[in-house]
Amino acid sequence: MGAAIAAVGLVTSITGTFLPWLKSGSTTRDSYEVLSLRGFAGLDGVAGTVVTSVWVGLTPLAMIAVGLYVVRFPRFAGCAAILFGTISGTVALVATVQGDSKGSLVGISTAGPITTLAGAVLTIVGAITVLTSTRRSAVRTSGGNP
Amino acid sequence: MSYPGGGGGQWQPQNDPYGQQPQQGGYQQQPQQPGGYPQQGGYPQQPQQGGYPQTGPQGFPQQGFPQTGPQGFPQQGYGQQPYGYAPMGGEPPKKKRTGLVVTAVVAVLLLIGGGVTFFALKKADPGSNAGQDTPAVAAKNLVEQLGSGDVVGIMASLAPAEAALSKDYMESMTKEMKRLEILKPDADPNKLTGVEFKSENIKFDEAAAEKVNDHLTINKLVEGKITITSDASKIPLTDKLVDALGDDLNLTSTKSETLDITAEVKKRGTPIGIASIKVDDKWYPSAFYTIANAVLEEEKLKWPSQGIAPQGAGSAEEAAKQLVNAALDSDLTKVIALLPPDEAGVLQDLGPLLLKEAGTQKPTGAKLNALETDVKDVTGGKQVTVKKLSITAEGETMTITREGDCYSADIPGEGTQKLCADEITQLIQQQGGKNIPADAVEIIGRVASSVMKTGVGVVATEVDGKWYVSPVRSYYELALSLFRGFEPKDVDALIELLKK
Repeated sequence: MGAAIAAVGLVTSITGTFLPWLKSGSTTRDSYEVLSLRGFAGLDGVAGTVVTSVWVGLTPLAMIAVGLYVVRFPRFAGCAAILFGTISGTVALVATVQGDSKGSLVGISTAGPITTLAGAVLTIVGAITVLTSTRRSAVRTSGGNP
Repeated sequence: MSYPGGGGGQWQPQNDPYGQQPQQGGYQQQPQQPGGYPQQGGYPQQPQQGGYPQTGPQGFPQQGFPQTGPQGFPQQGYGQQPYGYAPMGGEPPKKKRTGLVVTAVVAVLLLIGGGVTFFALKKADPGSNAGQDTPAVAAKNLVEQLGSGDVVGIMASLAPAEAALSKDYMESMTKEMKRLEILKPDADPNKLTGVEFKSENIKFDEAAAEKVNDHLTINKLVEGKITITSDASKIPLTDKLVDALGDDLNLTSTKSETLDITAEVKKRGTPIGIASIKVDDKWYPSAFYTIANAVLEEEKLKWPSQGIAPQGAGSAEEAAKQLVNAALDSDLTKVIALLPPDEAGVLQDLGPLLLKEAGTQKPTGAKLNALETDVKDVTGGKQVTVKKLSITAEGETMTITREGDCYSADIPGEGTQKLCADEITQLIQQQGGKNIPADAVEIIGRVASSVMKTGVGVVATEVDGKWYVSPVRSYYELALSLFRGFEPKDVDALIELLKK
């Protein structure tokens, strides 16, 4: 059950990164297109590369989490999913909070951040469920069945 | 534990087709054990077929013990089969396919993850916003972005040096406006509230595009409409300013203005030129070149076939010194060559025309004896301010020296005169008498004092390892120095003065 919730969360979160994050006039840009403007935002150089690598690296991280679960490393999978949820959730939360841009020509579009945030929450909840159930079964195994 | 049948009772395979017949050829079958469990626990082995006895100690696993066949011949090594093997002719056990499934899932994950990551990386590439492959696409993008109000897109697709200039200026000015309480603290220079753009049916005549040289093309805009809607109530002005300007500023209605390009082109008789310039093998729309082209069209002039080549200096100080010397010599060519080719390339391309318009200039005859400078980092470059300047003109030498926020001038025949920043207010009162309001005297004094403390100078920028003097950034820094001299209460005082 926990794994299913986490999987839905991962997919939702990644989908959210491709939804609108920035509106400029009647044009919207997803989170990756926003990153392509990092030079314009003064985020060029090492800082820009790190931010881009971490954000683009979220999808591989999600795949690693799923892969680890499939090859029966649920604890590592849970940890990877929590890391994913924490990074994507934090960024999405900040963007959602800053998202009030009524009347502005340029502003944050909330569709992407809110979807990503919802996905991140589901991912973390699912991952915690996986981790606790894995721990419970490990305790039962070491204690022996009655 | 008992396998199968439980309780160690008799077990006869019911569905074994061979079970009712003697085994052929002396091959002895082992009892089929589901799941390959070895027999344990001392339960007697059951004769398998037709009640042929097995030898070997009962209750032990059968491995390694010879069995006799139905004819009493030894089985010649065929008598043993490892546990878990199906009886000959029986249904083979299902092989576990977990490995295959896992491999397949991992492969699918790699494919999906790789695909999504590749797509994301491509979108996150700054090059996707950079220049275009052709001048026509660059110009078309600009007009479309303008039409959709995509300010971010415009800023990102403009020629890099022009975009950097606009961004730096907007940010610095907004910061000062917030400090002076003209704009609200949460005003964002990038949000551009209070204005909307819309374009319709924009068309270029690509065949009519004018290629001026290898890095400049003028695209011809022939059709379309651009509508600009402004709403002053959405400008993030502070409440005190809105109250003060309330009557003059219409805050309740939106104003809409439409630029009918088709009608304008018909009226002018020529298309509207939008310039594209080539920077590092990519084409960008250029505001500076577009404005210059409009001026040339107005004056019925043509772009020169060749411009003035840029000639930078080895350092920011050296660039400033060369500029002063060129100015004293009235060497306009050198002055233009010392301008940054990225920001002021348009002046270098227009250079020969500017020289022709300026006519022949005689050297001033003045000579620079010494120029000592202070250098500090500012946004986009280095500000070079005068520390000591000595010039000889008509046989007389004048020296200006700056110490802290005091300036002293050695003037022939008049001795040394000194002026400090805190004396400015007093000087204005002496010079202006009682005609100037006290508030205004204080403000002027503070602003002048701010400029004196900052120092007067130019901003130099580095392009391809050479230093050039940027006229636009120098002007910005001077404007910012003036603004920094103001305080929020000065804005209140100015509003009161305006009301009177």
